[in-house]
Amino acid sequence: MIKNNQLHQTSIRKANKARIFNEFKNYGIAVFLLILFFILWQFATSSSFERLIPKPSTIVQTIIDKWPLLATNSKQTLFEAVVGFLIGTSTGILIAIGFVYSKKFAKSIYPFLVFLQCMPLMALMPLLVLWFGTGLASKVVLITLATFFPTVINVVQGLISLDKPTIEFMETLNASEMQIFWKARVPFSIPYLFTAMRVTVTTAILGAIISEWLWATKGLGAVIVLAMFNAQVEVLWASMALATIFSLLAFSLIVILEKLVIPWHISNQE
Amino acid sequence: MPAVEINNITKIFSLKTGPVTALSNISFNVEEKEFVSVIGPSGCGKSTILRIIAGLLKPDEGDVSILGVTPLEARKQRLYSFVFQDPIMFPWRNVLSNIEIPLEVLNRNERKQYAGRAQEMLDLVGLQGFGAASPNQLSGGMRQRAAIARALLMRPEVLLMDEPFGALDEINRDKLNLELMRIWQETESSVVFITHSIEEAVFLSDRIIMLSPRPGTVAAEINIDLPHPRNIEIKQSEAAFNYATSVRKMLNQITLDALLVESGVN
Repeated sequence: MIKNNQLHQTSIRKANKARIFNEFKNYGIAVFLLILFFILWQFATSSSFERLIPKPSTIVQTIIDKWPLLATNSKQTLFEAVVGFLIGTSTGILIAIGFVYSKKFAKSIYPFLVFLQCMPLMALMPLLVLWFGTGLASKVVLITLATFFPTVINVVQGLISLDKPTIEFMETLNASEMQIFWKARVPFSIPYLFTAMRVTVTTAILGAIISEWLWATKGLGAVIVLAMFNAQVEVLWASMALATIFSLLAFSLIVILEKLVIPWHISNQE
Repeated sequence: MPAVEINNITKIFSLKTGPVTALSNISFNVEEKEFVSVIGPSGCGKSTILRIIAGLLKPDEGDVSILGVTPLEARKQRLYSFVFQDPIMFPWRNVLSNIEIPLEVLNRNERKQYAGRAQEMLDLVGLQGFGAASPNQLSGGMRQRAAIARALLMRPEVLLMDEPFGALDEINRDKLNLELMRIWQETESSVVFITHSIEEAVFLSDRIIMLSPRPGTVAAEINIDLPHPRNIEIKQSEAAFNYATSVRKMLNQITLDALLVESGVN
Protein backbone atom coordinates (compact mmCIF):
# COMPACT_ATOMS: atom_id res chain seq x y z
CA MET A 1 0.00 0.00 0.00
CA ILE A 2 2.85 2.37 0.86
CA LYS A 3 4.64 1.46 -2.36
CA ASN A 4 1.47 2.13 -4.29
CA ASN A 5 1.21 5.45 -2.60
CA GLN A 6 4.72 6.42 -3.72
CA LEU A 7 3.94 5.40 -7.28
CA HIS A 8 0.83 7.46 -7.02
CA GLN A 9 2.86 10.43 -5.78
CA THR A 10 5.24 10.28 -8.76
CA SER A 11 2.39 10.21 -11.23
CA ILE A 12 0.80 13.15 -9.42
CA ARG A 13 4.10 15.00 -9.77
CA LYS A 14 4.24 14.20 -13.47
CA ALA A 15 0.70 15.43 -13.95
CA ASN A 16 1.57 18.59 -12.05
CA LYS A 17 4.55 19.26 -14.30
CA ALA A 18 2.41 18.84 -17.40
CA ARG A 19 -0.17 21.20 -15.92
CA ILE A 20 2.38 23.88 -15.08
CA PHE A 21 3.81 23.63 -18.61
CA ASN A 22 0.33 24.01 -20.08
CA GLU A 23 -0.37 26.98 -17.88
CA PHE A 24 2.93 28.54 -18.93
CA LYS A 25 1.95 28.01 -22.56
CA ASN A 26 -1.34 29.82 -21.93
CA TYR A 27 0.37 32.70 -20.16
CA GLY A 28 2.95 32.76 -22.95
CA ILE A 29 0.24 33.56 -25.47
CA ALA A 30 -1.15 36.30 -23.23
CA VAL A 31 2.29 37.86 -22.78
CA PHE A 32 2.95 37.67 -26.52
CA LEU A 33 -0.36 39.40 -27.30
CA LEU A 34 0.37 42.09 -24.72
CA ILE A 35 3.80 42.81 -26.22
CA LEU A 36 2.30 42.86 -29.70
CA PHE A 37 -0.32 45.34 -28.46
CA PHE A 38 2.33 47.70 -27.09
CA ILE A 39 4.43 47.45 -30.27
CA LEU A 40 1.41 48.27 -32.41
CA TRP A 41 0.55 51.14 -30.10
CA GLN A 42 4.15 52.42 -30.28
CA PHE A 43 4.18 52.56 -34.08
CA ALA A 44 0.54 53.40 -34.74
CA THR A 45 0.64 56.62 -32.73
CA SER A 46 1.28 59.41 -35.22
CA SER A 47 2.71 62.73 -34.15
CA SER A 48 -0.61 64.56 -34.58
CA PHE A 49 -2.29 62.01 -32.37
CA GLU A 50 0.38 62.05 -29.73
CA ARG A 51 -1.10 65.07 -28.01
CA LEU A 52 -3.87 62.85 -26.67
CA ILE A 53 -2.43 59.33 -26.79
CA PRO A 54 1.32 59.34 -26.25
CA LYS A 55 3.54 56.45 -27.31
CA PRO A 56 4.22 53.82 -24.60
CA SER A 57 7.88 54.85 -24.70
CA THR A 58 6.90 58.45 -23.89
CA ILE A 59 4.82 57.26 -20.94
CA VAL A 60 7.72 55.21 -19.59
CA GLN A 61 10.06 58.16 -20.14
CA THR A 62 7.65 60.44 -18.24
CA ILE A 63 7.49 58.01 -15.32
CA ILE A 64 11.31 58.05 -15.18
CA ASP A 65 11.59 61.85 -15.56
CA LYS A 66 8.89 62.65 -13.02
CA TRP A 67 9.78 59.81 -10.65
CA PRO A 68 10.37 61.94 -7.52
CA LEU A 69 6.98 63.64 -7.93
CA LEU A 70 5.14 60.44 -8.84
CA ALA A 71 6.81 58.39 -6.12
CA THR A 72 5.92 60.72 -3.21
CA ASN A 73 2.35 61.06 -4.43
CA SER A 74 2.01 57.32 -5.06
CA LYS A 75 3.16 56.69 -1.53
CA GLN A 76 0.39 58.96 -0.26
CA THR A 77 -2.26 57.24 -2.37
CA LEU A 78 -1.12 53.75 -1.42
CA PHE A 79 -1.04 54.71 2.25
CA GLU A 80 -4.66 55.91 2.08
CA ALA A 81 -5.68 52.78 0.18
CA VAL A 82 -3.98 50.41 2.63
CA VAL A 83 -5.41 52.13 5.74
CA GLY A 84 -8.91 52.29 4.22
CA PHE A 85 -8.69 48.69 3.03
CA LEU A 86 -7.58 47.42 6.43
CA ILE A 87 -10.27 49.36 8.32
CA GLY A 88 -12.95 48.44 5.77
CA THR A 89 -12.04 44.76 5.79
CA SER A 90 -11.83 44.45 9.56
CA THR A 91 -15.09 46.36 10.11
CA GLY A 92 -16.66 44.13 7.47
CA ILE A 93 -15.50 40.98 9.24
CA LEU A 94 -16.80 42.21 12.62
CA ILE A 95 -20.19 43.17 11.21
CA ALA A 96 -20.38 39.80 9.41
CA ILE A 97 -19.78 37.97 12.69
CA GLY A 98 -22.49 40.08 14.33
CA PHE A 99 -24.80 39.19 11.45
CA VAL A 100 -24.30 35.48 11.86
CA TYR A 101 -24.68 35.42 15.64
CA SER A 102 -27.59 37.81 16.07
CA LYS A 103 -30.64 37.70 13.82
CA LYS A 104 -31.84 40.91 15.47
CA PHE A 105 -28.59 42.67 14.63
CA ALA A 106 -28.73 41.37 11.08
CA LYS A 107 -32.30 42.50 10.56
CA SER A 108 -31.77 45.95 12.00
CA ILE A 109 -28.45 46.67 10.28
CA TYR A 110 -29.00 45.11 6.86
CA PRO A 111 -31.32 47.85 5.48
CA PHE A 112 -28.72 50.47 6.37
CA LEU A 113 -26.02 48.49 4.63
CA VAL A 114 -28.08 48.19 1.45
CA PHE A 115 -28.91 51.89 1.67
CA LEU A 116 -25.24 52.71 2.00
CA GLN A 117 -24.31 50.42 -0.86
CA CYS A 118 -26.90 52.04 -3.12
CA MET A 119 -25.73 55.54 -2.32
CA PRO A 120 -23.29 56.78 -4.98
CA LEU A 121 -20.22 57.11 -2.80
CA MET A 122 -18.61 59.64 -5.14
CA ALA A 123 -21.50 61.97 -4.47
CA LEU A 124 -20.85 61.54 -0.78
CA MET A 125 -17.25 62.67 -1.10
CA PRO A 126 -17.87 66.46 -0.84
CA LEU A 127 -19.81 65.83 2.37
CA LEU A 128 -17.01 63.68 3.75
CA VAL A 129 -14.58 66.49 3.00
CA LEU A 130 -16.81 68.93 4.89
CA TRP A 131 -17.10 66.55 7.85
CA PHE A 132 -13.60 65.13 8.04
CA GLY A 133 -11.48 67.79 6.31
CA THR A 134 -9.28 67.55 3.27
CA GLY A 135 -6.71 65.31 4.96
CA LEU A 136 -6.37 61.57 5.35
CA ALA A 137 -9.59 61.02 7.34
CA SER A 138 -12.13 61.80 4.60
CA LYS A 139 -10.35 59.52 2.13
CA VAL A 140 -10.04 56.66 4.57
CA VAL A 141 -13.74 56.95 5.40
CA LEU A 142 -14.66 56.79 1.71
CA ILE A 143 -12.46 53.75 1.09
CA THR A 144 -13.79 52.06 4.22
CA LEU A 145 -17.36 52.61 3.04
CA ALA A 146 -16.51 51.29 -0.42
CA THR A 147 -14.72 48.16 0.77
CA PHE A 148 -16.65 46.91 3.75
CA PHE A 149 -19.92 45.99 2.03
CA PRO A 150 -18.45 43.28 -0.24
CA THR A 151 -16.56 42.01 2.80
CA VAL A 152 -19.72 41.72 4.89
CA ILE A 153 -21.66 39.92 2.16
CA ASN A 154 -18.90 37.42 1.42
CA VAL A 155 -17.84 36.70 4.99
CA VAL A 156 -21.47 36.18 6.06
CA GLN A 157 -21.80 33.71 3.20
CA GLY A 158 -18.64 31.99 4.38
CA LEU A 159 -19.63 31.82 8.04
CA ILE A 160 -23.03 30.32 7.28
CA SER A 161 -21.61 27.90 4.71
CA LEU A 162 -20.71 25.41 7.43
CA ASP A 163 -22.91 22.41 6.70
CA LYS A 164 -25.19 20.79 9.24
CA PRO A 165 -23.32 17.47 9.55
CA THR A 166 -20.12 19.35 10.43
CA ILE A 167 -21.94 21.32 13.13
CA GLU A 168 -23.50 18.11 14.45
CA PHE A 169 -20.10 16.43 14.37
CA MET A 170 -18.59 19.22 16.45
CA GLU A 171 -21.57 19.04 18.84
CA THR A 172 -21.07 15.32 19.41
CA LEU A 173 -17.47 16.13 20.37
CA ASN A 174 -18.92 18.36 23.09
CA ALA A 175 -17.45 21.42 21.38
CA SER A 176 -18.67 24.80 22.62
CA GLU A 177 -20.13 27.44 20.32
CA MET A 178 -16.79 29.26 20.51
CA GLN A 179 -14.84 26.14 19.58
CA ILE A 180 -17.14 25.46 16.61
CA PHE A 181 -16.59 29.07 15.55
CA TRP A 182 -12.79 29.02 15.71
CA LYS A 183 -12.10 25.44 14.67
CA ALA A 184 -14.61 25.11 11.84
CA ARG A 185 -16.55 28.24 10.92
CA VAL A 186 -13.57 30.56 10.62
CA PRO A 187 -11.33 28.29 8.52
CA PHE A 188 -14.21 27.41 6.19
CA SER A 189 -15.02 31.12 5.70
CA ILE A 190 -11.49 32.27 4.82
CA PRO A 191 -11.83 31.45 1.09
CA TYR A 192 -14.87 33.76 1.04
CA LEU A 193 -12.87 36.53 2.69
CA PHE A 194 -10.27 36.20 -0.05
CA THR A 195 -12.97 36.46 -2.71
CA ALA A 196 -14.01 39.75 -1.10
CA MET A 197 -10.44 41.01 -0.84
CA ARG A 198 -9.73 40.35 -4.53
CA VAL A 199 -12.51 42.80 -5.30
CA THR A 200 -11.96 45.35 -2.54
CA VAL A 201 -8.21 45.69 -2.90
CA THR A 202 -8.61 47.31 -6.33
CA THR A 203 -11.63 49.26 -5.11
CA ALA A 204 -9.43 50.70 -2.36
CA ILE A 205 -6.88 52.07 -4.84
CA LEU A 206 -9.60 53.41 -7.11
CA GLY A 207 -11.31 55.02 -4.10
CA ALA A 208 -8.06 56.64 -2.96
CA ILE A 209 -7.40 58.23 -6.37
CA ILE A 210 -10.93 59.48 -6.90
CA SER A 211 -11.20 60.88 -3.38
CA GLU A 212 -8.05 62.91 -4.07
CA TRP A 213 -9.75 64.70 -6.94
CA LEU A 214 -11.42 67.00 -4.46
CA TRP A 215 -9.23 69.53 -2.68
CA ALA A 216 -6.34 67.16 -2.24
CA THR A 217 -2.81 68.48 -2.57
CA LYS A 218 -1.09 65.13 -2.34
CA GLY A 219 -1.62 61.78 -4.02
CA LEU A 220 -1.88 60.39 -7.55
CA GLY A 221 -5.41 61.77 -7.82
CA ALA A 222 -4.13 65.28 -7.11
CA VAL A 223 -1.37 64.82 -9.70
CA ILE A 224 -3.96 63.72 -12.26
CA VAL A 225 -6.16 66.78 -11.63
CA LEU A 226 -3.20 69.14 -11.80
CA ALA A 227 -1.90 67.53 -15.01
CA MET A 228 -5.34 67.85 -16.55
CA PHE A 229 -5.53 71.59 -15.85
CA ASN A 230 -2.02 72.09 -17.18
CA ALA A 231 -2.76 69.90 -20.22
CA GLN A 232 0.18 67.59 -19.36
CA VAL A 233 -1.25 64.59 -21.16
CA GLU A 234 1.83 62.42 -20.68
CA VAL A 235 1.71 62.98 -16.89
CA LEU A 236 -1.93 61.92 -16.91
CA TRP A 237 -0.97 58.74 -18.71
CA ALA A 238 1.99 58.13 -16.47
CA SER A 239 -0.20 58.41 -13.34
CA MET A 240 -2.78 56.12 -14.87
CA ALA A 241 -0.14 53.57 -15.79
CA LEU A 242 1.26 53.65 -12.26
CA ALA A 243 -2.19 53.31 -10.69
CA THR A 244 -2.88 50.29 -12.91
CA ILE A 245 0.43 48.72 -11.96
CA PHE A 246 -0.32 49.25 -8.26
CA SER A 247 -3.77 47.70 -8.62
CA LEU A 248 -2.29 44.73 -10.46
CA LEU A 249 0.39 44.27 -7.80
CA ALA A 250 -2.14 44.56 -4.98
CA PHE A 251 -4.40 42.03 -6.67
CA SER A 252 -1.49 39.65 -7.24
CA LEU A 253 -0.46 40.04 -3.62
CA ILE A 254 -3.91 38.90 -2.51
CA VAL A 255 -3.81 35.95 -4.93
CA ILE A 256 -0.37 34.89 -3.68
CA LEU A 257 -1.50 35.30 -0.07
CA GLU A 258 -4.53 33.16 -0.88
CA LYS A 259 -2.34 30.37 -2.23
CA LEU A 260 -0.20 30.52 0.91
CA VAL A 261 -3.01 30.74 3.47
CA ILE A 262 -5.53 28.34 1.98
CA PRO A 263 -3.59 25.93 -0.23
CA TRP A 264 -6.23 23.33 0.65
CA HIS A 265 -9.01 25.21 -1.08
CA ILE A 266 -10.37 23.83 -4.37
CA SER A 267 -9.64 27.08 -6.20
CA ASN A 268 -5.92 26.51 -5.54
CA GLN A 269 -5.80 22.91 -6.66
CA GLU A 270 -6.86 22.94 -10.29
CA MET B 1 -26.80 -2.19 32.29
CA PRO B 2 -27.66 -1.84 28.59
CA ALA B 3 -25.29 0.30 26.50
CA VAL B 4 -28.21 2.17 25.00
CA GLU B 5 -31.74 2.22 26.36
CA ILE B 6 -34.57 3.67 24.31
CA ASN B 7 -37.92 4.04 26.05
CA ASN B 8 -41.12 4.93 24.20
CA ILE B 9 -39.65 7.55 21.95
CA THR B 10 -42.03 9.70 19.95
CA LYS B 11 -40.78 12.45 17.69
CA ILE B 12 -43.01 14.93 15.89
CA PHE B 13 -41.62 17.35 13.32
CA SER B 14 -43.61 20.49 12.64
CA LEU B 15 -43.30 21.11 8.93
CA LYS B 16 -44.92 23.87 6.90
CA THR B 17 -47.54 21.37 5.74
CA GLY B 18 -48.37 20.48 9.36
CA PRO B 19 -47.02 18.20 12.08
CA VAL B 20 -45.55 14.88 10.98
CA THR B 21 -45.03 12.02 13.39
CA ALA B 22 -41.58 10.71 12.47
CA LEU B 23 -41.26 8.16 15.26
CA SER B 24 -43.99 6.63 17.36
CA ASN B 25 -43.40 4.69 20.57
CA ILE B 26 -40.01 3.28 19.72
CA SER B 27 -38.39 1.13 22.38
CA PHE B 28 -35.34 -1.10 22.17
CA ASN B 29 -32.10 -1.71 24.00
CA VAL B 30 -28.59 -2.28 22.83
CA GLU B 31 -26.63 -4.51 25.19
CA GLU B 32 -22.96 -4.00 25.96
CA LYS B 33 -20.70 -5.18 23.13
CA GLU B 34 -23.71 -5.81 20.95
CA PHE B 35 -23.89 -4.77 17.29
CA VAL B 36 -27.39 -3.63 16.41
CA SER B 37 -28.48 -2.42 12.99
CA VAL B 38 -31.55 -0.33 12.36
CA ILE B 39 -32.99 -0.93 8.93
CA GLY B 40 -36.11 0.21 7.15
CA PRO B 41 -37.45 1.88 4.03
CA SER B 42 -36.45 5.49 3.47
CA GLY B 43 -38.48 7.94 5.50
CA CYS B 44 -38.90 5.61 8.45
CA GLY B 45 -36.85 7.83 10.77
CA LYS B 46 -33.72 5.69 11.08
CA SER B 47 -31.39 8.68 11.24
CA THR B 48 -33.76 10.50 13.57
CA ILE B 49 -33.42 7.72 16.14
CA LEU B 50 -29.64 7.92 15.99
CA ARG B 51 -29.72 11.69 16.38
CA ILE B 52 -31.97 11.35 19.41
CA ILE B 53 -29.57 8.81 20.96
CA ALA B 54 -26.71 11.26 20.36
CA GLY B 55 -28.66 14.14 21.89
CA LEU B 56 -28.64 16.09 18.63
CA LEU B 57 -32.45 15.98 18.65
CA LYS B 58 -34.83 15.94 21.60
CA PRO B 59 -37.69 13.42 21.61
CA ASP B 60 -41.20 14.78 22.20
CA GLU B 61 -41.94 11.83 24.44
CA GLY B 62 -39.87 9.12 26.04
CA ASP B 63 -36.24 9.09 27.00
CA VAL B 64 -32.88 7.71 26.04
CA SER B 65 -29.90 6.76 28.13
CA ILE B 66 -26.39 5.71 27.27
CA LEU B 67 -24.85 3.51 29.99
CA GLY B 68 -27.40 4.92 32.39
CA VAL B 69 -26.82 8.62 31.73
CA THR B 70 -28.50 11.16 29.45
CA PRO B 71 -27.09 11.70 25.95
CA LEU B 72 -25.67 15.11 26.88
CA GLU B 73 -23.98 13.68 29.96
CA ALA B 74 -22.66 10.79 27.86
CA ARG B 75 -21.23 13.34 25.47
CA LYS B 76 -19.41 15.09 28.31
CA GLN B 77 -18.00 11.77 29.52
CA ARG B 78 -17.08 10.87 25.91
CA LEU B 79 -19.02 7.62 26.11
CA TYR B 80 -20.06 7.67 22.46
CA SER B 81 -18.77 8.63 19.02
CA PHE B 82 -20.81 9.44 15.96
CA VAL B 83 -19.83 8.45 12.41
CA PHE B 84 -21.71 10.33 9.72
CA GLN B 85 -22.43 9.30 6.15
CA ASP B 86 -20.13 12.14 5.10
CA PRO B 87 -16.65 11.49 6.52
CA ILE B 88 -16.35 15.22 7.50
CA MET B 89 -12.68 15.92 6.91
CA PHE B 90 -11.27 19.42 7.32
CA PRO B 91 -9.29 20.00 4.11
CA TRP B 92 -6.73 22.28 5.79
CA ARG B 93 -5.65 19.47 8.12
CA ASN B 94 -3.81 16.33 7.04
CA VAL B 95 -5.35 12.94 7.68
CA LEU B 96 -3.63 12.37 11.03
CA SER B 97 -4.57 15.80 12.27
CA ASN B 98 -8.17 15.21 11.15
CA ILE B 99 -8.23 12.13 13.35
CA GLU B 100 -7.07 14.33 16.22
CA ILE B 101 -9.94 16.83 15.91
CA PRO B 102 -11.74 15.37 18.97
CA LEU B 103 -8.70 16.32 21.07
CA GLU B 104 -9.26 20.00 20.24
CA VAL B 105 -11.95 20.31 22.90
CA LEU B 106 -9.74 18.85 25.63
CA ASN B 107 -7.32 20.64 27.91
CA ARG B 108 -3.60 19.91 27.76
CA ASN B 109 -3.63 17.32 30.56
CA GLU B 110 -6.53 15.37 29.11
CA ARG B 111 -4.83 15.41 25.72
CA LYS B 112 -1.78 13.59 27.11
CA GLN B 113 -3.82 10.44 27.64
CA TYR B 114 -4.22 10.15 23.89
CA ALA B 115 -0.62 10.76 22.81
CA GLY B 116 0.21 8.47 19.89
CA ARG B 117 -3.30 7.14 19.86
CA ALA B 118 -4.22 8.78 16.53
CA GLN B 119 -1.35 6.99 14.79
CA GLU B 120 -2.45 3.68 16.36
CA MET B 121 -5.98 4.17 15.10
CA LEU B 122 -4.69 5.11 11.66
CA ASP B 123 -2.78 1.82 11.57
CA LEU B 124 -5.80 -0.06 12.88
CA VAL B 125 -8.00 1.07 10.00
CA GLY B 126 -5.28 0.25 7.45
CA LEU B 127 -4.22 3.78 6.57
CA GLN B 128 -0.59 3.49 7.67
CA GLY B 129 1.53 5.85 5.59
CA PHE B 130 -1.36 8.20 4.84
CA GLY B 131 -1.18 10.33 7.97
CA ALA B 132 0.56 13.22 6.23
CA ALA B 133 -1.66 13.06 3.14
CA SER B 134 -4.37 15.61 2.52
CA PRO B 135 -7.89 14.21 2.85
CA ASN B 136 -8.50 15.40 -0.71
CA GLN B 137 -5.95 12.85 -1.94
CA LEU B 138 -7.89 9.97 -0.36
CA SER B 139 -10.69 7.97 -1.97
CA GLY B 140 -14.15 8.02 -0.45
CA GLY B 141 -13.60 4.65 1.20
CA MET B 142 -10.28 5.74 2.68
CA ARG B 143 -11.81 8.95 4.04
CA GLN B 144 -14.51 6.91 5.75
CA ARG B 145 -11.82 4.66 7.26
CA ALA B 146 -10.19 7.81 8.64
CA ALA B 147 -13.55 8.89 10.06
CA ILE B 148 -13.84 5.52 11.82
CA ALA B 149 -10.31 5.90 13.19
CA ARG B 150 -11.31 9.30 14.54
CA ALA B 151 -14.46 7.88 16.12
CA LEU B 152 -12.38 5.26 17.95
CA LEU B 153 -9.77 7.76 19.14
CA MET B 154 -11.22 8.33 22.61
CA ARG B 155 -12.11 4.68 23.23
CA PRO B 156 -15.89 5.20 23.17
CA GLU B 157 -18.18 2.63 24.75
CA VAL B 158 -20.79 3.20 22.09
CA LEU B 159 -20.39 3.82 18.38
CA LEU B 160 -23.30 5.47 16.58
CA MET B 161 -22.98 5.02 12.82
CA ASP B 162 -25.34 6.74 10.41
CA GLU B 163 -25.12 4.94 7.07
CA PRO B 164 -21.34 5.28 7.11
CA PHE B 165 -20.91 3.34 3.87
CA GLY B 166 -24.05 4.66 2.19
CA ALA B 167 -22.15 6.80 -0.29
CA LEU B 168 -19.74 4.04 -1.34
CA ASP B 169 -20.03 1.65 -4.25
CA GLU B 170 -20.89 -1.94 -3.45
CA ILE B 171 -17.35 -3.28 -3.88
CA ASN B 172 -15.95 -0.74 -1.44
CA ARG B 173 -18.84 -1.25 0.92
CA ASP B 174 -18.20 -5.01 1.09
CA LYS B 175 -14.54 -4.39 1.76
CA LEU B 176 -15.27 -1.89 4.51
CA ASN B 177 -17.85 -4.21 6.08
CA LEU B 178 -15.15 -6.84 6.51
CA GLU B 179 -12.77 -4.19 7.83
CA LEU B 180 -15.36 -2.88 10.27
CA MET B 181 -15.89 -6.37 11.67
CA ARG B 182 -12.15 -6.83 12.13
CA ILE B 183 -11.83 -3.42 13.83
CA TRP B 184 -14.91 -3.89 15.96
CA GLN B 185 -13.71 -7.26 17.21
CA GLU B 186 -10.58 -5.49 18.46
CA THR B 187 -12.41 -2.63 20.17
CA GLU B 188 -15.61 -4.39 21.26
CA SER B 189 -17.68 -1.30 21.79
CA SER B 190 -21.44 -1.42 21.32
CA VAL B 191 -22.63 -0.27 17.91
CA VAL B 192 -25.88 1.20 16.66
CA PHE B 193 -25.64 1.05 12.90
CA ILE B 194 -28.11 2.69 10.53
CA THR B 195 -28.27 1.23 7.04
CA HIS B 196 -30.57 0.53 4.13
CA SER B 197 -28.48 -2.36 2.89
CA ILE B 198 -29.88 -5.73 3.91
CA GLU B 199 -26.69 -7.72 3.27
CA GLU B 200 -24.71 -5.21 5.29
CA ALA B 201 -27.13 -5.41 8.23
CA VAL B 202 -27.15 -9.23 8.22
CA PHE B 203 -23.39 -9.57 8.01
CA LEU B 204 -22.57 -6.99 10.69
CA SER B 205 -25.30 -7.37 13.27
CA ASP B 206 -26.09 -9.44 16.27
CA ARG B 207 -29.59 -8.08 16.00
CA ILE B 208 -31.56 -6.12 13.42
CA ILE B 209 -34.30 -3.67 14.37
CA MET B 210 -36.67 -3.27 11.47
CA LEU B 211 -38.71 -0.10 11.25
CA SER B 212 -41.92 0.54 9.34
CA PRO B 213 -42.44 3.98 7.83
CA ARG B 214 -44.74 6.92 8.53
CA PRO B 215 -44.72 6.96 11.48
CA GLY B 216 -41.61 4.98 12.30
CA THR B 217 -42.41 2.08 14.60
CA VAL B 218 -40.50 -1.08 15.42
CA ALA B 219 -41.93 -3.68 13.05
CA ALA B 220 -39.66 -6.57 13.98
CA GLU B 221 -36.52 -7.58 15.79
CA ILE B 222 -34.40 -10.26 14.17
CA ASN B 223 -31.55 -12.03 15.93
CA ILE B 224 -28.73 -12.94 13.59
CA ASP B 225 -27.12 -16.09 14.94
CA LEU B 226 -24.09 -16.16 12.72
CA PRO B 227 -20.82 -17.16 14.40
CA HIS B 228 -18.09 -14.72 15.41
CA PRO B 229 -15.59 -13.61 14.27
CA ARG B 230 -17.43 -12.64 11.13
CA ASN B 231 -15.30 -13.08 8.03
CA ILE B 232 -15.62 -13.48 4.30
CA GLU B 233 -16.72 -17.14 4.61
CA ILE B 234 -19.59 -16.16 6.85
CA LYS B 235 -20.49 -13.30 4.53
CA GLN B 236 -20.81 -15.80 1.68
CA SER B 237 -22.43 -18.58 3.71
CA GLU B 238 -25.86 -20.01 3.01
CA ALA B 239 -27.00 -19.03 6.49
CA ALA B 240 -26.22 -15.38 5.79
CA PHE B 241 -28.00 -15.62 2.45
CA ASN B 242 -31.08 -17.13 4.10
CA TYR B 243 -31.17 -14.38 6.71
CA ALA B 244 -30.91 -11.75 3.97
CA THR B 245 -33.74 -13.36 2.05
CA SER B 246 -36.08 -13.44 5.02
CA VAL B 247 -35.20 -9.86 5.99
CA ARG B 248 -35.84 -8.77 2.40
CA LYS B 249 -39.26 -10.49 2.42
CA MET B 250 -40.22 -8.75 5.66
CA LEU B 251 -39.06 -5.38 4.36
CA ASN B 252 -41.03 -5.79 1.15
CA GLN B 253 -44.13 -6.68 3.14
CA ILE B 254 -43.69 -3.61 5.36
CA THR B 255 -43.19 -1.31 2.38
CA LEU B 256 -46.22 -2.75 0.64
CA ASP B 257 -48.40 -2.41 3.75
CA ALA B 258 -47.33 1.20 4.15
CA LEU B 259 -48.22 1.92 0.52
CA LEU B 260 -51.65 0.37 0.93
CA VAL B 261 -52.34 2.42 4.06
CA GLU B 262 -51.24 5.60 2.34
CA SER B 263 -53.41 5.04 -0.69
CA GLY B 264 -56.38 4.27 1.58
CA VAL B 265 -56.79 0.60 0.66
CA ASN B 266 -57.09 -1.39 3.87
